[in-house]
Amino acid sequence: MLLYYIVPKRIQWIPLFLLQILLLSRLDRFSWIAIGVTVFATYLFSRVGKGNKPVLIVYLVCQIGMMLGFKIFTETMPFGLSYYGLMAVGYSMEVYRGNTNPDKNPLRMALELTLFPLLIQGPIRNMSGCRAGQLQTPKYFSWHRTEQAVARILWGCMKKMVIADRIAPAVEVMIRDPQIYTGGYVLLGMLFYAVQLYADFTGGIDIALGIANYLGLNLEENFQVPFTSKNLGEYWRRWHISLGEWMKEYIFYPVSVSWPVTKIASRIRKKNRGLGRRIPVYTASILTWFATGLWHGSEAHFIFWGMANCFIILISRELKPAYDRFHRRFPTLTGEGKTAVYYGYFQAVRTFLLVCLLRMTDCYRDVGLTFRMFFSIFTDFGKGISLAPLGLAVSDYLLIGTGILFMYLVGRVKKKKKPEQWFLEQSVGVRYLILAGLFFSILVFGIYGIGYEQRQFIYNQV
Amino acid sequence: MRRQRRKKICLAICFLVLTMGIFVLLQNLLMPKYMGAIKEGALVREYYDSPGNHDVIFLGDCEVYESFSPVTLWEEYGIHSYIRGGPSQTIWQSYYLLEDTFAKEIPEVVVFNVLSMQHGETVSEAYNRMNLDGMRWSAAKISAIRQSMTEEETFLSYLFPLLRFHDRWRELEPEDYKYWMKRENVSYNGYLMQTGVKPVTVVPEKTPLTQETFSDICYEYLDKIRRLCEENKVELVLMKAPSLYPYWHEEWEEQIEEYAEKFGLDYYNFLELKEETGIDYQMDTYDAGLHLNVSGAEKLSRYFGKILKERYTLSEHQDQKLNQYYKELKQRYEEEKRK
Repeated sequence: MLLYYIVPKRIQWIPLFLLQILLLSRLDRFSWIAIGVTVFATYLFSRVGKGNKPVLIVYLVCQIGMMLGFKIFTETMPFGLSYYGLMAVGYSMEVYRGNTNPDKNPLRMALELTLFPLLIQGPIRNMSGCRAGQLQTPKYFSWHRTEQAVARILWGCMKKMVIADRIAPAVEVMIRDPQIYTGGYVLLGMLFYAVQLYADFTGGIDIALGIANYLGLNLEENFQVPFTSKNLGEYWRRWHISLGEWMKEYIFYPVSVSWPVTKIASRIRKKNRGLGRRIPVYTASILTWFATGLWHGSEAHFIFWGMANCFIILISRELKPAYDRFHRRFPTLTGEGKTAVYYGYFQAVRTFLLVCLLRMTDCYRDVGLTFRMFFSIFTDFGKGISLAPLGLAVSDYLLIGTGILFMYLVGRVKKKKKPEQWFLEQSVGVRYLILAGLFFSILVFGIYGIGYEQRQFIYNQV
Repeated sequence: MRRQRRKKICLAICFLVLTMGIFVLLQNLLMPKYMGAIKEGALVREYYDSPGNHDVIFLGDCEVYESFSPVTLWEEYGIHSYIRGGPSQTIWQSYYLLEDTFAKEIPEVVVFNVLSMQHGETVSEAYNRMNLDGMRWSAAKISAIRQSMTEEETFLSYLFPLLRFHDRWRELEPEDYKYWMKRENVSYNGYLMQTGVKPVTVVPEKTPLTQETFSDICYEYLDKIRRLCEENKVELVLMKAPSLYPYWHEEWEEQIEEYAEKFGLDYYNFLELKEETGIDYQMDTYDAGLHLNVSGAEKLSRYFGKILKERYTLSEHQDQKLNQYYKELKQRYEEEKRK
C-alpha cells in the first residue's frame, strides 16, 4: 500500500495488482474460476461490445447465467461474485451504451473490476462515465486523505468488532431456538439484529471506502443515515444505495421503457388510463424486487422478503393521495414546528420497525416460522423476558449502548455534512484523540482472539 | 512548505510515540500479573533478576519448582541454584529455556525432571502463556513459541500480549493496578513456596498407560538438551521428583534408565528414595501427594544438595553481594514460611 505512492505513476496500479493477487491467493478453485471467467468475458466484451446488441445479449446470458447457476445450485457463492459480477454487468452495459472508455490493459481492468476491498461486501461500483477507469489516472499522496481514510477504516472496524460481533451471539441465541424465544424475545431479537446488521454492514463498507479513499479512488456512499427514513421507499434510497442504484439503472429503467412493457401499457391505457400508466412501474418494480431478493439468496424467504418490500412500496404509492389529503388536513405534521419534528420521529420509528419486521425472514429463514414468531409477539408478550440466557454481561450492554450512541452522533453529523469533512475541520489534538480512541477501543473491546468466534461479514455471505 | 512538512512529520512522530506509550501502559495493565492466585505464571520472568552465575539450574514442570528450595541449597551447601520451571512445562520449552539460560550464564550442572517426557504435545494455551510470556526476547523464545503454539494461537499475540489479554478489562482486580508498572518477585530463585499441609489419605489408583513409549519429539528434545549441555561442558542430571501422581509407569522408568545408561547420565528417581530423603506424605505435601510443601522441599533439597556437592564440581562462592542477596531472600522466605 505504501509502494502505491512511491512507484512511478505510470505503473502505480502494479503494486496494487500484486497485493490483490496475494490477498486472493488463498481463495478456493471456484472463486478463481468465477473471477477468471468474469474478467476474461468482460475484457473481451469491452473490446468489441460497444453498440453491439447480439454480443451484449450473449455476454449477459453467460455472466448472469453463471451468477444464477452458482446462486441456485451451490450452497455458497464464489468469493465476491455477487459484487464484482454486478459491477462487470454494469461496466459492460456502460461500454455498450458508449458511456465509458474501456481500459485496454486487461490486468488493470481486472484489478478495477475486482478491487479487493470491494469484494467482501461491496459497494457495487457505478462504472459509468469517469467513475470507471479511475486507476488509469495518477494518484498523489495526500496527508489529509490518509488521515480521513485511517479514521474511516478504524470507525468501520470499531462498528464491526466492538458492536456487531458483540451483539451477534445474543441474536443467535434467540434465533436458534424459536420454540423458547417467543413473545418479547422476538421483538428484542428484531432490534438486536437491526443493530448487528447495521454495524456489520456499514462497518464493512466504511473499511472498504476508507481503503478506496487512501488509494485516491472516488466511490459513492452506500448508506445515508437510513434509520431516519420516513417511509420504506426513502429507506431504500438510503440503505445499500449502490445495489439500489444498480437495480434501478440496469433493471428498473430498462424494463419500464422496454418495448413489450410500453406496448402492453399503451394498449391497456386505451381501455383503462390509470392501469395503463401503472403497468411499466409495477412490472419494473416487481422484477427489480424479485432480482433484489434473488441477489440476497435463492431461498424462498429472500424472494418473499423482496416481494414484501415491493408490495409495501407499491401500496404506499397507491395510498399517496390519501396521505397527502391527511397532511393537508393536519398541516402542522409537515410544517416546521415541534409537532412536525415529533411526527418525523414517529415516521422514522415506524419505518425502522417495518424494516426490522421484514428482516425477520432473514433471521428465521422460513416464511411460515417468521409469521408465527411475529404473532407470538402479541400472544406471548406477557411471558416476559430475561436477559440472562442471551449471554451478554452488563458491561456488554454498556459497550453496545455507547456504540449505538456514537453511531447516532455520526449519523447526525452525516445529515449535515460528510463526516470526513467534519473530521478534518477538527484541531490536530481532537483528530488524534478520535484516531487513538478508535484504535484502542478496537484493541481492548474488540471481539477477537482466543475465546471469541471470528465472524464473517453478514453481507459477504450473499 | 518544507517547514510545514517538517512540522507534520514531527507531529506524526510525537503521536506515534504517544500511541506506543499508551499501548505499553494498556498492555501492562491488562496482562495477568500472577502475583496472587496463580503465581506459577511469574516464575520464568523472575530468573532475569537473579544475580551471579548459578551452579545448578533446574528444568521442568511443577514437580521441580515445588520440590527444591534454592535457599536451603545455599544455606546448607553454598550451592547457588535457580529453578527455571513452569507449570506443565513441555520438554521443548525446557530446552529453549536452557538455550536462553546459556546465553546469560553457563552453570556447572543442569537437572532435568523427566515427567514432561509424557507430553508429546502442548498441554494448553494457558500454560504456554505462563511458560513463554516471561521469557526475554531472543531466538530461543521465538523457537519456543513456534514449537509450542496451539492452532488457535498466533505469533503476533506473543509479540503483543495485549492482543491475547485485551478482554481482561472485565476482570481487573486491585492487584492489576498495584503491579501495573512494577511487579514483585513471588518465588525464591524459581521456587514456589507452599506452606499448607494436606496428608495423603488414599493413594490414588494407577492411571492407565496411554502410551508405552515416549514420543519421538520428546526424545528429540532430550537429545538436544543433552547435546547442548555437552557442547557447553555442563553436567546433565536426570531426575524424577517424589510425587504420588500423576503416576510414573514402570515402562517410562525403564526408558529413562536405558537413556541415562546409554549416554552415561546420572538419573535419580526420588520416588524410590523415600527412606533416604525422609519425605513423609503425611506432612510434606500440601495437596495429598501431588506436590511437596516447603517442609518436603527442604528435606529433598538437603538430600539432593549433598549429592550435588559431593558428586559434581561446583564453584565456591565468596561473593559478598551474593551473600547479601541470599540474606534478603532468606528473610522474605522465612516471612512467607511463617504465614
